[in-house]
Amino acid sequence: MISETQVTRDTHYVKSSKSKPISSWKVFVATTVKDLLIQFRYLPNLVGRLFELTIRIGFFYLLASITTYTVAGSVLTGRSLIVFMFGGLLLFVYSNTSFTAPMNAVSNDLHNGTLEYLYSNPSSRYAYFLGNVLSSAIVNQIVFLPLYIVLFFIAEATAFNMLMVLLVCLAVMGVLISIGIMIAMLALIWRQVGAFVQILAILFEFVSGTYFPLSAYPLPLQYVAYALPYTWGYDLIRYYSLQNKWQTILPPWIEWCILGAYAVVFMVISRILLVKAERRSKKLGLHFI
Amino acid sequence: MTISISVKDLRKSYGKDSAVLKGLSLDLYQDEILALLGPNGSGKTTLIKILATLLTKDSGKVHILGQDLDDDENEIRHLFGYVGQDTERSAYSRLTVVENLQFFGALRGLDKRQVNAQIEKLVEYFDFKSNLKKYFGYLSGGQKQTVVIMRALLHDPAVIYLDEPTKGLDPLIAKNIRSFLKKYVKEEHKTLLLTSHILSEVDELSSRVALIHDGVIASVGTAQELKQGVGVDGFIELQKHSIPLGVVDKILRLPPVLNSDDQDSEWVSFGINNMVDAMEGIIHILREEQIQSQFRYRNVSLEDAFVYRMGLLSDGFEA
Repeated sequence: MISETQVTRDTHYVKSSKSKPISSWKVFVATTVKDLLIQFRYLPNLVGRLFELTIRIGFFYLLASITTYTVAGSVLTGRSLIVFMFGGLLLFVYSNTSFTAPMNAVSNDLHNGTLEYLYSNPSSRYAYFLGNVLSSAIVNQIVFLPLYIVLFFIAEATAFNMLMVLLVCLAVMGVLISIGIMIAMLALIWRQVGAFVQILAILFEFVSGTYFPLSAYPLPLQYVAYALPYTWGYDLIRYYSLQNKWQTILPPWIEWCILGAYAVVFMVISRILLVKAERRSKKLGLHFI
Repeated sequence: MTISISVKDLRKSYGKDSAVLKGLSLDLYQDEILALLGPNGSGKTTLIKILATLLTKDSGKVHILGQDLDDDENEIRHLFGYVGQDTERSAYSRLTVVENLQFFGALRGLDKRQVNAQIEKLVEYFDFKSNLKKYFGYLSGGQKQTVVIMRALLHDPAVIYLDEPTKGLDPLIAKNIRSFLKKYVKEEHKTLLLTSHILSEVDELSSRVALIHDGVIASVGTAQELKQGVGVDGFIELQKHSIPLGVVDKILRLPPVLNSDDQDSEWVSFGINNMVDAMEGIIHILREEQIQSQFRYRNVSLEDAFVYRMGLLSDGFEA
């Protein structure tokens, strides 16, 4: 019989495993590269998404050519309306980054059993989910970059303003990635979150003012819009791209602060959800979720 | 002998009335392959998942290589390799075998050079080199299982958990995996905990067998010890259709014949403790009754031991 005192830290054993702590950054990079490889190998899916966005861009280009918006006394028509629309689409191309991509990543990982491997592994889960979400953002550059360049020429904005547009997009991306991780965690907790995600996506697309000025909405809907990070992103993009033709809801610096606050709040919430989701899945077992 | 894994009074339930582990205790040693046997739902997978940090326990103490599961969970994750059930899809189907292994290796802090060196070593063992560039999704079930086992061994862990590692595999691949695991544990001084419903596999592979029943370890010992526990040296089996009931009773009255079992559709089986005496007695009775019947002798198998023990346990006896 072996006594309990023999159960001590055995350095020989620990050394015999080559596994060692890995930085979150490396997990993040490895996951992003892995996910990009996979996305480019499912070409029909990628091409389909590009088609969908191209059709959407074409539709709103046409709409902008035949419509006139009156926003806070200013009239948006012709080229300025196209800038308005394209400013909205510039952020819309990332909608799948925060909604469908993370939800699908978790569903696939649960289905494939790869999530079980991840949870028995010492690497950072946050970095793993971040990598999954970021790879979708990188893929979306295929649409974002041409749209951004077209916007640059149509808007005839200064280089500084276009740089500010880029910074707004990056700030919104920061928020979206955190939302993406939150959605991934909700998918882990509830598994079937399609309907919930759909509602959120619709809110983000139509209530935030992607295609219509916020002032055109009834007041209650405007208040809902203020709670959505996209709203402030759109407002700032239009402020920089339409220049003197656009009046922001609040002073631009406050809108920047709101975006920053959203990024921090959503990151904290997503981290809390990550811990909660892991605790729940370990209590029930991933196979029971 | 050094203890690798120590489990004391482990309890786990999935809800109010669904206790799965009810105070399970077990020790595993270095250089050992321990097989967990038990009916479906007895808690084998739950135990492995707790050890693999995939499930939280309700209470009890677990030490893995001296590390306390309560305090050093992430440290412990460096020490083991895990293969769960349903490995058919448990890697990325649109990545090649080598890309999958490199990614999973990266999650364990291994650089490309270390992963490649380990892959090279493992593909030699498994004769798998020709499949490295294939997409995981295009591999056969056995090949996928091999990849998943390679993934579990990628970081050269001291402890390996395998939940039904050869389920659904063709006998040749299963045999290859078994021979590899046996050699690997012996040569590399590892500890392997496995579950399996293939009792011949357990018999061939394991150093010890633990029977889990109703959430506790009911019995643990070598396969030989478990077989001896059945209390017979072997079985003489006669063709069922040729033996009238009265003859079965007559055979049962022979001193070396201890029991009979007619659960099989073709054979009636007599547990005996002296092969020569039992054989002589049975042949004598068959001649006397002018019965022509084929008969055969077989040793006690692990399946016999398992069925016997589980039968006792179900009847409320302590094993």
